[in-house]
Amino acid sequence: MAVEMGYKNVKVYTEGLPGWGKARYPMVSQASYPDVDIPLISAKELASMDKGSIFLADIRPPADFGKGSIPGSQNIFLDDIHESYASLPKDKKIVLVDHKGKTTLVTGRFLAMKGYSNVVRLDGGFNAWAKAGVSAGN
Amino acid sequence: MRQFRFQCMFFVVVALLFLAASDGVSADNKWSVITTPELKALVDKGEDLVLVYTMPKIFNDLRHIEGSVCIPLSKLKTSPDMPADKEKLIVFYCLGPA
Repeated sequence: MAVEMGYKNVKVYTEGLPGWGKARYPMVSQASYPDVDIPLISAKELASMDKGSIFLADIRPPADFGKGSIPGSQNIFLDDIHESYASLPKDKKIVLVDHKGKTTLVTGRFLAMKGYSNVVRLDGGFNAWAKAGVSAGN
Repeated sequence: MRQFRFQCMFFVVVALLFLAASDGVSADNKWSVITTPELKALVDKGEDLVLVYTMPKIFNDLRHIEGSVCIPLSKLKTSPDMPADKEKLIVFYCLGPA
């Protein structure tokens, strides 16, 4: 994308944060989230849940959400959740849904820090839901 | 014969793409891969670069490389932290091949 924006000297550090940490090079931390368990639920378990008692928070980008989502879910985009989390209800179980289940643990712990104590995450994310054969749509 | 020539050309194109990728260069030579020692050397040298962490802010707050700025991909086009100088070296990183 940076190349499309006209930048001519672009490099990608593919080893990323894990590679930097493995080499024990300096990292900075500005926050620490509670080391709590954010339980996983399967697509099958989600399908059988009482929809009135849960809030389905789909944290994928709006473009992906628009292409297909779990019925009843709302798009709370991960890139903005530090500002938009307050719109999440505290009186319902929050089910976090991402693409593959890779980002929901940190997101759940962030929410725990903000006082949300009833948060679970969809194992395998939306991909698992779609694979499980449950129809997608808004 | 024509089919053979087409197969040869196809093979050459695939081979070139493979060579470009294995050398850490994008197929169109628009960006390249930087390794951990190479990045550390640039940082230690005080190279004039912008190091960009593309994960969301809640990940950045938890941990990031010293000196990097957090610009999630969705904010790239609007972020004031992207340099005005298009020639400046920009290094992007995220959570790696997880």
